[in-house]
Amino acid sequence: MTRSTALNDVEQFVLLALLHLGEKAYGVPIRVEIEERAGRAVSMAAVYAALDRMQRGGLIEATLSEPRPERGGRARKYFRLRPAGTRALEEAHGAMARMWDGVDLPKNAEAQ
Amino acid sequence: MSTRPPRLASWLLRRILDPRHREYILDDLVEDYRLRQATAGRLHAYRWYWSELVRSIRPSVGARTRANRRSPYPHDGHQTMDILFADLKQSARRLLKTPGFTVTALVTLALGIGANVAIFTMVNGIVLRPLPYPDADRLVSIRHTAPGLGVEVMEMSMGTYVHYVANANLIESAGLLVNAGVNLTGDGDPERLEGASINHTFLPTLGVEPILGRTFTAEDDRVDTPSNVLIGHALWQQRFGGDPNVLGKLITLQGEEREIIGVMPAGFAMPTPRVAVYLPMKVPESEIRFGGFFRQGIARLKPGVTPEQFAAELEALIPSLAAAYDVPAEMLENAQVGVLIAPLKERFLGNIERPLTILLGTVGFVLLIACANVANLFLVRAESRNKEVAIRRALGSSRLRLSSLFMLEAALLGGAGGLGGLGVAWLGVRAVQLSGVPLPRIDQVSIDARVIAFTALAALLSTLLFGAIPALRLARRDLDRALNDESRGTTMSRGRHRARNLLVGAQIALALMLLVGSALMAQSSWRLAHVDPGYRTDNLLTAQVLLPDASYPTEADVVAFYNRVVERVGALPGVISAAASSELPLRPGMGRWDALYVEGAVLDANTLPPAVIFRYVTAGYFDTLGIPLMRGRGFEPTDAVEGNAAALVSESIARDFWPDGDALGGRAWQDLPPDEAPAQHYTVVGIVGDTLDQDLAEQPTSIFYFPVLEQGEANLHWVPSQVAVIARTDGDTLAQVDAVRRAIWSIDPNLPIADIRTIGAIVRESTLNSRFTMALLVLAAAIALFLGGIGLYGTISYLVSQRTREIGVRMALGAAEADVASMVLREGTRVAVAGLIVGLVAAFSLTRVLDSLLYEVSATDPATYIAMAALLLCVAMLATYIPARRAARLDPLEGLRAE
Repeated sequence: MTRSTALNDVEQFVLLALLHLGEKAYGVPIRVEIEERAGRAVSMAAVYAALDRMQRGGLIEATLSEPRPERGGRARKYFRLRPAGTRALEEAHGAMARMWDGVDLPKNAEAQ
Repeated sequence: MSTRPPRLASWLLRRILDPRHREYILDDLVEDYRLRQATAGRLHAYRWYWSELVRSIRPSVGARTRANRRSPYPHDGHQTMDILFADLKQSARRLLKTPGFTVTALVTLALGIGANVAIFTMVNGIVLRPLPYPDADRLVSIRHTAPGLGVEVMEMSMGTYVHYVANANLIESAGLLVNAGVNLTGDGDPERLEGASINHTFLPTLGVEPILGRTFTAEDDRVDTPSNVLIGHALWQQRFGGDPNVLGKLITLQGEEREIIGVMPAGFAMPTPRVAVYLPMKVPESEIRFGGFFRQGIARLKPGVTPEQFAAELEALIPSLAAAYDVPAEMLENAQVGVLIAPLKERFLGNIERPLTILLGTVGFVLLIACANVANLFLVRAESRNKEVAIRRALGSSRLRLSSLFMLEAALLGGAGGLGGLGVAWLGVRAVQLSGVPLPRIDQVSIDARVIAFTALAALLSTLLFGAIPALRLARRDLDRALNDESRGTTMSRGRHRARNLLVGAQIALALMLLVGSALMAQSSWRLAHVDPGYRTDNLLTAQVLLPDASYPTEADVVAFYNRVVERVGALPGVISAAASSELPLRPGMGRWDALYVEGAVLDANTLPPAVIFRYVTAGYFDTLGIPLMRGRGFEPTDAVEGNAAALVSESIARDFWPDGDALGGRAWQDLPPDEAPAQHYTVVGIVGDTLDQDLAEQPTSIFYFPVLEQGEANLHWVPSQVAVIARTDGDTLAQVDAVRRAIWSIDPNLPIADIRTIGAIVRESTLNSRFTMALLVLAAAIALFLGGIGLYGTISYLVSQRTREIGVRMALGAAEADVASMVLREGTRVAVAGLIVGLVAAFSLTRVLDSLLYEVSATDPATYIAMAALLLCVAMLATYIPARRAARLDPLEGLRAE
């Protein structure tokens, strides 16, 4: 895999959302999670693009549910972290923490 | 309440989303939509869904391209571009591995497509492209017709112009132009220029303005103002070196100094590309009359008005012309005066549109033949790949995919052939431009976006044509039969040759049509070149001069020049005889047509007699040109006696105007009937042979000859100041050019001499369009013949090579060489004859479109059909004979050993 292991922020959000959601992580809840916690509106296509990238990178895996009990109901695709995903997330968190280490934000940065 | 998200947005999303996640995303979006509708309301959900569409674009495109870049599964259906690219590479490599096939196919295609693009480029530049004026589609020409007088087309008169402009509501503006040759003298050599006099509304009607200075104003149209001049861009560059201060300078035109008031933009020249100066059209009150239909009228119609509506409006105005200009209404009616409105563009096209259209059709056939040839090559190639294809099929390649591989190869060839064709077309168009064929607007012909689109279309259609047949056959091919056939290596079934035979048969049929068409044109052209025009066409040198009014103010001066020039030129060593006349034959538009009245002829009231050409000639004209005197006598110095001038008439006039009586001694008047005419009349003293004076392909022209005789006061009739000098030489005619020029300058050193050339050259030029069409048709037919021959040869050769083993067996079993040869010949002949029969029928029904272009040849001339069919059969036999001989010479042992 030539892909660099550094995660971008949407990927990090998605991975964290998966951790928050546990077993029942699929498109809609993932997005709601990101929207509610991070206040970021992400398009469904972007969520799936990130999921796709990380699935190819072996960070997450997908399982198909039973077809939904409604007319024309299709199977849902549930996602969960694989060990590589956890490691990547730890790495990203560590990198961010090291960057933050010893930082004193100037006083006038009120937006925080 | 609907719980479905907006349909259009869903539909669009479906197109955009990465197909691998599409369904999941759409399902999730529906769920999300319902959620939002329940919590925030329908409008919010609706708006959110649409914004989702917009925000999905970037991630979807990114996901797709990333997926393609490192696709682990080449067949998961979404890497079309990747596969296509790999296939393209593979196809290109395969083509390069068989350079013989590729080069042959490419040259064939480039020629076929190139011929089409070249002709289309000309059709585009000459016929399709609008004139280079703003809103050119609103410009029309106004001409008249008077079938009652036997006049098909005539221009406008001052009277009709003024009347229409004053009364027609559909005109936005209108203008007038008259061609005028002018002499430019002063600094440097005297020069004869083409010019035009235009009224002040002419240029504004076209929408053209000078790049320097001003255009003419109403002031310039008045007779009492100085005659200024607008000069063309080329003259400005050549004569004045592009001097920006040229305005206000004086140049001497027709012996008169005129002030330059403006310079026209580059590329503007009306009505011909050579026009260099524009003079104001100064029309005295007295000229504003009904008659005098020699002014070329143009009009700009109001937006949305069609030429037909405009024609109808002018037609309705014609009766009122009678009252306006005091012309008998019956005369207008009897003459059946009508207007001819045509888009201005058509005026410049002349009769070139039809030959070009026919040529375009012809080269279309050439392309069909080329495609059939390439398709054949492909089929042959496909045969040799049977095994590969069978294996691919066995391994699970779909038919569609295999066909698409073949189509890709075809597309590569088609694309390259299109590019090559564009190059061929460019060369071809340059060649036509440099050859000097006087096609209208040929200088404006160039390769533009439309031509490139046409080329792409031609390449695409060709690709479909020659690629589809092999691709379809390949896909249909029965799997195990292919494997078996190949491994047995024996004779192929007849059915497998059907496609190739059909293609070759079609090629032969198409080639025969082209051969017949071009043979008809060639015959017509030959006949036209060998028609007897009624005058000599060899050893005659002509030169034209225009005597300026300033130096030749009186008729006597003009007559004196006529006679002196004949005297001087006639005295040159090497000149057998010399003559001068007001015009030369075969310069259409130069003749002076007028009504001829003869004594005793009974005309219906208010009917005009047919128009004839009135020509002014010196006594030696007939001898010099070799026009025979049929009866009576020629001109004599005593002929120009006051009140009784002598005249000669052509045989057709004698026959038509004196149907029952004798033309000799008959009296005739020009323009006016005897009861209104002045005492001046003409007495016919001789009848001379008919000549093809206006058009070699038409009937002989009726000409009424006046003598130009130096009789002082007695020579009362007006003599034109335009003089054509004609010298009959012995030996090399062109060697006399200098001598003739010097002889003319010995009379008047300021006289520019235009158009020194032989009558032969004039005759050749008059048939140039016909010969141009003929030459291109013959070229197309030659290509067709060649390609048809190659096609047949290739097919039969291949057949022989495939049957090598069979032939070996036959010969081992005792077949003689002759048996083998005739077997192969039979095969080729069968295809050729079938093609010929179809071709004859098709040619018979199609060459009728040539009818109007043919001269003294019937479009269904049986001899031509038979001869061309025979020629094609010969080529076909030759193409078959070579492989047949090869088959017959085969060593049976070798044949048996062949796989």
